[in-house]
Amino acid sequence: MNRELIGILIIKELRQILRNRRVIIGLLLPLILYPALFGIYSSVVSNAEQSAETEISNIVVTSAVPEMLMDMLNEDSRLSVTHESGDLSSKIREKTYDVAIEYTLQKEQHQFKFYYDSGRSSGRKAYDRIMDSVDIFEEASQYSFLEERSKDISLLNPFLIEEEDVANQAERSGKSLGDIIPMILTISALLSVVNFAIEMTTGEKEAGTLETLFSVPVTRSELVTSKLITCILLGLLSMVISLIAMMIILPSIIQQGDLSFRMTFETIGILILTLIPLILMGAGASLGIGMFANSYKESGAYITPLTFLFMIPAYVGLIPGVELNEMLASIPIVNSTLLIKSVFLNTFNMTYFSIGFVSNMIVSILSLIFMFKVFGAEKILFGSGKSFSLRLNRKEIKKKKYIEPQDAVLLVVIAVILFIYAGGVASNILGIVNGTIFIQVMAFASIPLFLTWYMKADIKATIGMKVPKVIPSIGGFFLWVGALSFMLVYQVLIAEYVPEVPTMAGIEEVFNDLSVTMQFIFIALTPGICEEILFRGLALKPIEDKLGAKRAVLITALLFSLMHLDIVRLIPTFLLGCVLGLVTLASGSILPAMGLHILNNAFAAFGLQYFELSVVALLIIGCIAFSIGLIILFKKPFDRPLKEDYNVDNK
Amino acid sequence: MNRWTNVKLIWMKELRSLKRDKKALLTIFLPILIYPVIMMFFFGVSSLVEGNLGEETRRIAYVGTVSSDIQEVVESDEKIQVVDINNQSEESAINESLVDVVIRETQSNDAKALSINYNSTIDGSNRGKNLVLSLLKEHKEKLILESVQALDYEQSVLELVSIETVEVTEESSTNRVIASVLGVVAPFILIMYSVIGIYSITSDLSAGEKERFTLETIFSVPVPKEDIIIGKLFAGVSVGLLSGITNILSMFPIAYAIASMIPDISVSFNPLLPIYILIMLLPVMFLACAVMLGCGLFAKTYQEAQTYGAFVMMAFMLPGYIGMVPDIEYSTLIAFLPVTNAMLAMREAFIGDFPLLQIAITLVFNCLLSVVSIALMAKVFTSESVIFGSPKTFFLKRKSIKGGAHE
Repeated sequence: MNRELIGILIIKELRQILRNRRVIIGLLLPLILYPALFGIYSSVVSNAEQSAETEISNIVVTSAVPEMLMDMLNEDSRLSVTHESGDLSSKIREKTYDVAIEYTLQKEQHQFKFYYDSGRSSGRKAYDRIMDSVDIFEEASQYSFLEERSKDISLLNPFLIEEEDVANQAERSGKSLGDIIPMILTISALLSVVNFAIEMTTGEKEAGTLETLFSVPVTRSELVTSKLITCILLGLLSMVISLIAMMIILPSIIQQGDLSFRMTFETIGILILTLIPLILMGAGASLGIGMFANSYKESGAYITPLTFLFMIPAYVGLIPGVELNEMLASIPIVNSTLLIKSVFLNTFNMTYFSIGFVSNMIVSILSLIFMFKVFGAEKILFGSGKSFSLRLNRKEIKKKKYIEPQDAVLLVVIAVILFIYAGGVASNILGIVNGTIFIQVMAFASIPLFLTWYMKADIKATIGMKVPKVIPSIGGFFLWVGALSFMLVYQVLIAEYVPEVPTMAGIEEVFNDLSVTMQFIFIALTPGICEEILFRGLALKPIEDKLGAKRAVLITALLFSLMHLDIVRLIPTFLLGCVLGLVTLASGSILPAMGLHILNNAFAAFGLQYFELSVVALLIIGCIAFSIGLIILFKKPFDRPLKEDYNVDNK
Repeated sequence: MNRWTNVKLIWMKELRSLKRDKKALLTIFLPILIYPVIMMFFFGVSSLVEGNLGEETRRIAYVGTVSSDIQEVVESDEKIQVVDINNQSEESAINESLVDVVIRETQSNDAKALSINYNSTIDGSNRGKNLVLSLLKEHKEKLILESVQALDYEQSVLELVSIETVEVTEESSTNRVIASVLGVVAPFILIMYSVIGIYSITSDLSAGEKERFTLETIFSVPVPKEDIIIGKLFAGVSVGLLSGITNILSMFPIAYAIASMIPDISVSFNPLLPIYILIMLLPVMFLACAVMLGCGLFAKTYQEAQTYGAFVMMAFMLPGYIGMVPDIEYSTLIAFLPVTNAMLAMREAFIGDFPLLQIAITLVFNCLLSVVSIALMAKVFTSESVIFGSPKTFFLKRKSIKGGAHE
């Protein structure tokens, strides 16, 4: 791909969009419209409320009521009291009176009958106002009743209950903001790009300029990449504008507003990391849809359901009582509303953030895959001209050595989605240990193996089940020792900033109750075998076959680290993934990687407590071991020998 | 009579072409599919949340000495777990989520007072407070009842005052309240979705036709331009009505689900209510459709018309929202505010009220406005310069129009 060309294309797209007066108006309008609409609406509401507050309720009394109550009603400036007898129902229905009071005294009991229409707000209001006085009257008569019989009145009030809210005004206004703003941010991130995307795809189609574009010496991949980038840039711009508009309105919403929420670099970083996957998601989906549709009308018809799809989950965060937990953090869009909310309420949690980020990333990757597919340019992502080969009819699928790289990535994405979503269900049914083992076997090994078989690829060749070459395996071991040392150093360094390294909640207790064998199976053996089958087995070679060793190792390591849903340990896991990928390619077999993975997990679970090395010692060991490993693996210049070795192997 | 046939001809033609347009139909009928999905989604999530909440434990802490009977009462609930906050201040313990609620007992003027400390911005703390509060209130009522019964008087001190409410209409008060809520929600949905429906089609009827160059074809048939645009107007209004009614009908499953949860509900309405609502609705729809068509005619492309339409839609939505303001009254003044007036007229009708003066103002004023807007729209439509020329020349002074014949 030509970067310079993409730059030119982006500038062309930006110019074209910004020349469009309609788009500019749409972009700037929120600045005027939001404050104006909010202003009109809130002034009407406060006027209505005020007039409702000062409005007089008309009360009619049909028979003499106790003097004390009568005085209270007369004193209440919100009430106008008249006396009249007879049937007053019709007069209430005609709105002459809001409430009629009928009173009788029977055996010391004051009996009140209130006639009103609860369908009318004036009726309900008048009733509530009278009840204020009636409650006081009731209490007073109870007290005098007891006093007459010289009884202690405290028996009617054995103790007082006081509620004390420790939240201050700023926190409370933060909460009310924390409900709406996260939702607005989420929705605007998702939908801010839609107009631009449609303009750049359907717009060009309708204007007939798309064909012209395709006829210039620009590849489709360059074209779609530049459109994507333009779209994201404009999306960001419109989000910023909406935010400014909101800032204008905010002071009028929070009247005594001293906002405790300050924009620190951390909060801005979190907001950006939460919102960017959403912008990607929106851009991918709407560019794809825009390209798919042949006219504005058609794209409009598709965008409506898309809007609903985006908006409904964003609203879920508003349901009272919905709190961020592992399950909700894994639901895209819902998690974003809740994550931003947690930033406002100072309840931010790194684990949930990691889970949310990864799950949103997965969905945005899916939406980008969809977009590239519509553009007929999957090769930009996967380097091959072919499209996905997963077909419903297996007969249509041709026999081949490896599945296509895009299928391999899809396989991993399916496995990870299954792992995240079915994992919770399996743990609920089988218990957390058996459930986790079961879902690993299913999601990482069985189902991907089945799909690979279904796509008629050579499973044995793909996975690389054979005796490994000895020397590269030894090199791999050294490499792992080096990587492990670096990982430990990282752990020590990060400990200062992350007080507790997040672990799956509740797993620790269960883990300690297991027998050592079971612990080993749970923490080392199953993940070691199953994760390797998926990442270094099914995914690595198909990608390496088309894109080369270097990219294959990096892509699988990246997917591997993302799957662990742990932002804090993203880098160490990525490093481990790289080491395992290198070993697999160099030794020509998956077995060393499985061995090292098992060793790695077992060491983390059991061996760590016996080692107490300083950071310096670890660094020295790491550098030496890593160098030895690299020297053994790469006797010749980087990359080439690996590829050659491997190709000789298979020929 | 002849003109009516023309209008009907165009009207039917537009509806037929809409029927052929599967995508436009999809947009109109989408709610039938979407509402049940939303409903399932929300019911699913809220039942899930409730399930979770039911199981969650609430951590409470005592500060100082709290009487044993109070401790007993609070701890009688399985969900309550007592924790120790070791000398940490109540406020920081709650804010750091070490504990949900802190209970402190004080003695003042011979009366025992329990203060329940919590943080209203933390959901867990808030729910913990509600739980503790309900336990304590229940206990308090029990104590009062016991001591009152021990007094053994002829007349119970707790029954000195009896209160009875009587509904002046024949219906029960639940039904009245439901009717008043429906009266706010249903007209809003009806008006909003009708306007959205109109929005979805008018761009195509106006600028869309310009873009496809089919306007010239229509102009070549022997029908006056006014009849054509009126036909289009009727088509737009029918689509809006269809959309509004579809939306109201697809709300039914939700309404039914909610209604089945409330016992003894039988809200009955005047059978003429739908007709009354239609009478109130139609002028508003003609107004919306005429304004949107008129604006759409200025646009050169379908997309441009959609943009203009979006502004018009917003202008109609704002008064719609104002009609939702709970305390707003259907006064003589507000009867002059289009859209809001119709909504309020419908709201009153739901609770069986028909204030004649306001209704008359509403109807006359809305009809007047829609007639004016229809006339303006027709003027735009018959103006060559707007339809085929540059929009710049429209409404400008005659002086600035160049004489073409000299060149």
